[in-house]
Amino acid sequence: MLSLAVFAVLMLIGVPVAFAILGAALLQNAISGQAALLVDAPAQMFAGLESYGLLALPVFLLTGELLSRSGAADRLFQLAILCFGRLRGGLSQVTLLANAALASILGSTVAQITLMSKLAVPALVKAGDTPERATATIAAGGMLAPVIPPSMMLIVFGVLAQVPVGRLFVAGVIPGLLMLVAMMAVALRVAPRTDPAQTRALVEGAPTRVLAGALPAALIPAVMIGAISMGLATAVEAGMFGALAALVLGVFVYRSLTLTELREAVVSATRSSAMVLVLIATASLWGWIAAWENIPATTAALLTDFTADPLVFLLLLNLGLLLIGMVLDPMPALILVVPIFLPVAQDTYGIDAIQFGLIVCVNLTLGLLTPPVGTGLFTAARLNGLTPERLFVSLIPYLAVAAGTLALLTLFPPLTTWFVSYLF
Amino acid sequence: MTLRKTEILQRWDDRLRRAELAVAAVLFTALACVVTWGTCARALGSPLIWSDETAVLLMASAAFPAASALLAEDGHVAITLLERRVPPGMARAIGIARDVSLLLIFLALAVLVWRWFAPVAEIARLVGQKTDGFPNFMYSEPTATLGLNKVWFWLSLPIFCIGVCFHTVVRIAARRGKSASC
Repeated sequence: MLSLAVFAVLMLIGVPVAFAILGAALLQNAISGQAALLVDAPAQMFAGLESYGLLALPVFLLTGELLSRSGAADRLFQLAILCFGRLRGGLSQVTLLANAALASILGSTVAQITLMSKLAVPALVKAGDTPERATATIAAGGMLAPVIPPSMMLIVFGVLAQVPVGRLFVAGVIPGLLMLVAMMAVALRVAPRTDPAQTRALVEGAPTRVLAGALPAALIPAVMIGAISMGLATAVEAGMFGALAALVLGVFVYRSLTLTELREAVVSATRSSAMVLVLIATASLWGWIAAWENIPATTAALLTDFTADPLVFLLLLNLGLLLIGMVLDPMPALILVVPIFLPVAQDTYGIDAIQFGLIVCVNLTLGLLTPPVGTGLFTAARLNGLTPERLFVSLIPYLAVAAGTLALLTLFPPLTTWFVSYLF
Repeated sequence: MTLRKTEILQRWDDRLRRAELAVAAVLFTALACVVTWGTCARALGSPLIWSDETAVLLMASAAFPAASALLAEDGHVAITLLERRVPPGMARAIGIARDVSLLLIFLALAVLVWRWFAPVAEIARLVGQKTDGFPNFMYSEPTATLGLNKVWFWLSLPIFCIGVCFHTVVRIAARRGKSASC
């Protein structure tokens, strides 16, 4: 209890989450009187990163950086306008579809919101949407990133839960599409009708030129996920193929990737990887201590005293995660929650690890767009000159359908497990 | 501490941050090359036995210096809500408490890393002096496929400890310098 209180205080005063976990874990270790464990703590931190599956993280981050710097996002947005600009709800639908395409190459909500703020919001406002609704559309689209493969959260969950990352990617396809369709239905209802001719005018150049420009960028994630689904490559190998293809595309096809851009892409991917990896390193220490102190078994005993029904457990879990997600970023929340609750879910309630992972990832993603600590909400509001409060009001319908999707994933396990068992 | 000394410290801090980031970026580039090489070799039917372990160890070794550089850049995930919502005086106090807490955590880790490496005993052993107790087996632990000892990769942890302690001390000194000049 003391270590939990210290962890909360450290977080409140702004100590980075990774080091707050480290402080609490060392304290827990010290007060438990296990001196031998304390001496092994640094080795345990390093060992927490020695996982082949974790290699997918820097590799996919590098692919995303290379693709976003090579101008792929702009071309994908143009392709989406060309293909779907005539749909009712026009540009909002296009924005959500482009978001889904971007989610499959970036895998990061904040990066996606930053890109789409530059690309889509001015076009949406020009087409007659209010800045609040336009920003809400791109922020909601950002929620697709942690679900549609390749998702950084799914990679980290795979490593924590010892589930092959490729299977999690495949499992993310149906929930991702469900969320996309639900969000498109919201856009259909709330967005103004745009004139198809006006939307069409946003396409720069001949349709064949737009198609030829965007197709290679659209094909990279399709080939990566295809190769993983068909068992032709591991997630790491597919990610490396994606990075190489993005490099060739940026340097030789789009000719927009200079040596400086390339260096910046590597440094940026290094920064993003390190931010997650150090969290995993310190959390593995925490997980190790939690296992030693028998915290999962204690939690399981407490929960089974309360309920033996897996559905009630999942509902309680969802409620707890929604609260955690409101104050903690998804990645640290995931890293803290999984070592405690996954063993309980699997061993006590017989819940599939893949269903558990998808529920946790979708749930924690909601926290990205909810106050008081919604990183996505604050990023989108700041980039588009809005107050988070006004943006949040416009986001409510999108959050409601995302919560609806979460309820479906909780109630119907095949939505997350069927596609995996069909393919593997 | 005078403003001049603080400025010198901050310049060194920035140099250290750049060096850490450069080392990490080189290691990450090496990781990408090794994974590519391993993937191609496997596709061609002659898999490399060492590529996966090398890539994993490079990733783990790169993460720590990069994480230290990120601390200097304020790039880690943190909840700064409280600091942003309170009056300036209180925010300053929270900032001091945060930096001091960070320093304590890093010093604790540094002590554990020092005990793990036990460098004094190892140096004594190397120069042929008789030491008490067992030899430190961490220096002889091998990697599974590389023919190298793991200690070369574990060195990233003491480097991390030095880096984060220095960055935090500079932050505290800069805070003191700023309040002294006000």
